[in-house]
Amino acid sequence: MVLVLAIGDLNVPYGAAALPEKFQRMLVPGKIQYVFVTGNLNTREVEEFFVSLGAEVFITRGDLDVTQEYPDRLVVSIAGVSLGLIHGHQLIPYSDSHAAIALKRDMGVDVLITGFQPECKITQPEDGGLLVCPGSATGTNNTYFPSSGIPSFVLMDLQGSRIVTYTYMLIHDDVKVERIVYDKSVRTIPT
Amino acid sequence: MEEVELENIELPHAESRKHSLGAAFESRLNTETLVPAARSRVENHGTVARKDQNRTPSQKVGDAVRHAKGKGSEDPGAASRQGPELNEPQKVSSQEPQRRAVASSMPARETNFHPHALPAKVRQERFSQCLHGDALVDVDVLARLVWIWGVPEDAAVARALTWKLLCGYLPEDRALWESTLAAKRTEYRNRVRELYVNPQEEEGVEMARNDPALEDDHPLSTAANSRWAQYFKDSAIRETINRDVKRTQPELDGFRPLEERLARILFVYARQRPKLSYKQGMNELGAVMLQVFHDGRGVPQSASSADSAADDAEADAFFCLEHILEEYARFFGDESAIQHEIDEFSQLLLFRDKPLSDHFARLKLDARFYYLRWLRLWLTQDFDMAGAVLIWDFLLSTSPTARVRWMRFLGLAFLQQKRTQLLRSDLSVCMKLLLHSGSGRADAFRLLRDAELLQCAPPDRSRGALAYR
Repeated sequence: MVLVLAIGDLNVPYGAAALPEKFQRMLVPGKIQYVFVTGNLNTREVEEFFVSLGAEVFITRGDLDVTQEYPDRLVVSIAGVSLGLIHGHQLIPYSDSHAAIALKRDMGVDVLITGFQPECKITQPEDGGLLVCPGSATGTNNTYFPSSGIPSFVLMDLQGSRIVTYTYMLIHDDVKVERIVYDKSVRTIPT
Repeated sequence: MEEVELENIELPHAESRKHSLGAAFESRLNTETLVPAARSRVENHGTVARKDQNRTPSQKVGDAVRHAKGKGSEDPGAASRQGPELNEPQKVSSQEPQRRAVASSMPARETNFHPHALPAKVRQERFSQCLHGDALVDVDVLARLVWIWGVPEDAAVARALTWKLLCGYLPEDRALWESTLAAKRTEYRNRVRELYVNPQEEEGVEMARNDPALEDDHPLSTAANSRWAQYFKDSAIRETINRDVKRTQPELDGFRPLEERLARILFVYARQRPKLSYKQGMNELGAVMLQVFHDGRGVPQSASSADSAADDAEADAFFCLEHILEEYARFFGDESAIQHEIDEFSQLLLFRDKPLSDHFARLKLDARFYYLRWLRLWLTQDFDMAGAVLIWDFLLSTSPTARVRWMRFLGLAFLQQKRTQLLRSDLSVCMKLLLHSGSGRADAFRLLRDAELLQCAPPDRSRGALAYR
């Protein structure tokens, strides 16, 4: 049982002051094994927060990040599932899902985690796998889209060929959790 | 009132320790002369007491003094036996009044024998008879036979069986054993299955409860009834337990395959008592219990029955550990109970051995540093398995409430054995002496004998508690 957190676009401190308090209370050390941050943290303090969760942290560079050190894209294999991570501002046109699917095929991953979009969305393309967009953890907007105002992130439970996703959204100061079980019918294309 | 004082008079025999039965055991004196004499002491003990009732206090003192000097008295038993090698039984009899105090602290039965008066063969026979022969096992007699001398039969099966009876796990009626064991073992297995919570649904395994609350359950939940929250809490407890179990009994190779079982036992116990949970130290207690029951599970007929026999041993060890910890759990959590016990022990040390107590006070060596470990672990870490098992035989044969009281005397005896070294050492050397001596079975036996002597010996604070040395 492996818990993977997909989160991003916090925009702290340039867009928002901090992670919402209810989210902070839930994200405690010891529960999550991997953290995938899509980008736009913006500063080191946020990175240190994620590292303090005691998990292995993967970060890609967003367009508003201060540090230049994060890679552009990442592919990680966990528990038999290959996950790809990219911020998403590189995908043009921005709101086009086909571009994401093409990138997923290009990277050859089962699950592609992208950010940059304000809504939290999980879709399953026809050739299997998952496209995960955790949205903005602080509900801020980005350079292109207006903000949805709903802070959100995604937690994934990798169980072999099953992926159980929990979508956490802060709507009117209430944490709403949605649980969906996906079957990753895998057809990864070798790179 | 006067009789009590008489019995507590310190008789001026500085070397009487040499002549005690314990010393005889150690130095392997001629038991053929000693044993019949000892038996006659037990038989004549009643007559000596009856004779004393008619004498005035001063006459009684005179008797006692004459008795000690071995010049003989009006006692018909002693008068008929003279000779240097038989002075020992007379010294033994002068200790009889004191020993009577000890015997009365044990459960009284009409089979009124004292274990010290029985030769080894007789004790073994009576033990086998008690354990295997009768339809109704007399647990009091069993306890008396095991007291101080340990389980006579050297077989591990006998020890495991004795411990189960002494813990009250097995009933006295032999016919009920099978059903009781089967019921208890199933109970344990069910508990294990219940407590190993897996918050994920597994394909093929149905969720027994269709709890609406579970619909909203998620890994980051902090709700009270969340299975995920419980799972993470359990993981934390299990990690602590595993860390301790890996360090348990490092010298004992035979214990390594039992680590997983011990972890399971401790986890089930911890989950049953969420307030106390698991505390360090319970692993040592559980380890001894499990090792003894595992060794005592008998010869397996086949591979599958070997597994189930090991599982049964694990279940038995769990319930017996529960029994011990019923009385002892408070020493793991309750601060006031711990402080009370430490104070009692410090008082005992002060009362019985003032020089040593003052020495420790000067070094600022509080009893908490050594006594708490002895109390919680039943001296397991200070003896190897063979010695520890003897001490456990002794402690299990006493009643649960008496165990705590005897522990104080065991601690006192332990200090007395190292007294001269302790008195001339500084703090660090003292601590080293009081930790992990790793002594064996002979040392354990000596400790038990000393504790018994201390329990009834008169106080002489100026020369140390065991004034005979």
